[in-house]
Amino acid sequence: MAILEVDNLKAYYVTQTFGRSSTVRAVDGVSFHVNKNEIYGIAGESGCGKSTLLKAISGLVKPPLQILGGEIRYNFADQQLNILDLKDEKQRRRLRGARISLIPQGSMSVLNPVRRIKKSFEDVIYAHLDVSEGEFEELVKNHLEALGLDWTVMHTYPHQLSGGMRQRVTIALSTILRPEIIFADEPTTALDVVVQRGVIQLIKKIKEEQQNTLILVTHDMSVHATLCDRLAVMYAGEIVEEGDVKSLFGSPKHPYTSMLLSSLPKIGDKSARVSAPGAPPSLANPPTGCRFHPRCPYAVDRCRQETPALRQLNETHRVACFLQEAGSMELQGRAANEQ
Amino acid sequence: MNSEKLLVVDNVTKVFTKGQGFVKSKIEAVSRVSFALERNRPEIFTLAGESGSGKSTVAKLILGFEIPTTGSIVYKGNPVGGLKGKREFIKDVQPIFQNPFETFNPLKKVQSYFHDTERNFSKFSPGKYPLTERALELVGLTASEIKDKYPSEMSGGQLQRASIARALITNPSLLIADEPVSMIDASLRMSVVNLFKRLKDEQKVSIIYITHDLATAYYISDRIAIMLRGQFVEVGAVKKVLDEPLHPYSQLLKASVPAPDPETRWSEDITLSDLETREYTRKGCKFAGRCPKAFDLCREQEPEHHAVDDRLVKCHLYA
Repeated sequence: MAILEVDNLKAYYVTQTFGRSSTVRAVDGVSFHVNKNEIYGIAGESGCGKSTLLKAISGLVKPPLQILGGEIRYNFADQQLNILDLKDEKQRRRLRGARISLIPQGSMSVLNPVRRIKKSFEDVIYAHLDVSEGEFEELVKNHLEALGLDWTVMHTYPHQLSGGMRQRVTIALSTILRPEIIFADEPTTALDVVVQRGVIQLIKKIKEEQQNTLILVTHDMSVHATLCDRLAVMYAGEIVEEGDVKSLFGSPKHPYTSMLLSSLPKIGDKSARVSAPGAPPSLANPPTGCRFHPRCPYAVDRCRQETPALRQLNETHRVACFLQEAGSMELQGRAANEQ
Repeated sequence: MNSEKLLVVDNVTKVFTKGQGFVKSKIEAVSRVSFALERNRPEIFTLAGESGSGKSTVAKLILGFEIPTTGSIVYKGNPVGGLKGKREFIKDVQPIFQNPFETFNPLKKVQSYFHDTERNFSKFSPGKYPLTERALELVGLTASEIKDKYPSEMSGGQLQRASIARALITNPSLLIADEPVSMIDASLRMSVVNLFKRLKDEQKVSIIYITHDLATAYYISDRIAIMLRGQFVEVGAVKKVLDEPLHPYSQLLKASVPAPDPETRWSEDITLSDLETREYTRKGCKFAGRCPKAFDLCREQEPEHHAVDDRLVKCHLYA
């Protein structure tokens, strides 16, 4: 069952400088759903709208970000709601932290450097629950214990903790109220490989124990491969491909996905690899037609004029590319020739 | 003496002291590190390890930003940090930093860095910058691409390539690249990494590549040193070390790199390190607290470097 449904969401940054307005179409017509109890990944290069999408669906919309269309529906067991209908910030606040929760990007800077960790926990818990000090301590102690953290971290300042420790504390803070949906924005970026593995392990453990749904945003395809059940690949504000990880990694259908995957070096393989040519386009002025066509090796005239729709390929796989239409095997043929 | 060698790092230790008076504590950020690069055989030498393993301190020592507590670093026969051959050294050894957005002053045009460097190091004729153009060409940029641009107007990959181009103006023999790709998107990483490979092959530049990303290290380097808490725990040809790591720490590192393949997921759990300082001051082997194969001797006595299978391993298992 889908716990979150996003339908044709448009989130733009609209700015006015000296009377000139500019619109950055960070999320442009995105539709997807997330099933209960699954790990849904969102991948893409920096500046493709991943973080904006997360902001929009968790209701953190502040100018210059504006929602110009679409729907975001949450189907909780006891309640169904469209977060865009909540006009009152108080109502949205009650939702955030308790039912949906965000593990923010850059754990290095999210904890207040002049307050002890315990204070941050107090802020979160007392905002949502009416508990005594004893109950607070018990709640936190049990949660930290389950995550393999020590109670002593509560008395430290953030600068006393290593990067990995800080990230683990941030995760503990985001999950202490057992939210039904967790959004994780680049939770392992800037961590060392061994610590990254520990954090991935921790996220998995929390998900299994609390039985919640996780939406994971990162540009690191290897992390997606190790954690996710289903994955959406974003490019320039749009979802270009979505599918379960096995079929997506096994046979990527969109040229952008294949490019992302083939640029990854692997231990044990010294063969030459090429980087994706060019850079992602500016979202203030995206290219016409398929937004990927300036970088696409297979682009034809039609790609420059028409925008491909996200089509259902089979039960689990969706792709937005003309090459996949009408059973065109051209791409696969060419890709096979290159290898 | 040592004229065949480009760079000789001999038994270098760097101790940082922390605090004052009674609470003074010492940390060996780099502990008895030795390696050498040949003069006529350019290579990419990787220093790999987690943050806090002393990789960047080694880079600073080689660049002469820090003075070793004991041991010596000799570049082309002259000790680093001394006055003899200093100008030559500055020209010959160039750094590349981690975050290209911090390397460049956001209020200065990118081209000014090129022009200033060129003016400092060559005979200058007004309005002409032949060395800048050549350097930009080497990294696949053109003068018009950086002309009148501020750092914020360029992408991370472009800016990092510009940063490498700036280092190439003086025609160096050694580049020291400290985490040059960690701030760049994975899809653009390869453009920088491939550039290093090409510089080594075509321009005969040796590169000390500092990274925690074993996959790119495997891809470009010739030799690798795995660092843990200031020590080299395993040094050898990259194929040997990463195909079949011998030191338990190298094995853990390799196993922790997530594979871009959903079919191979980790099955067993790992223990994360204690507080960093605790590992630095540990007696015996620094890895003993986390090592699955540790025995009593590991906790008592620091292992020596043992030569096994064409590489050096600092582990009691191979004594």
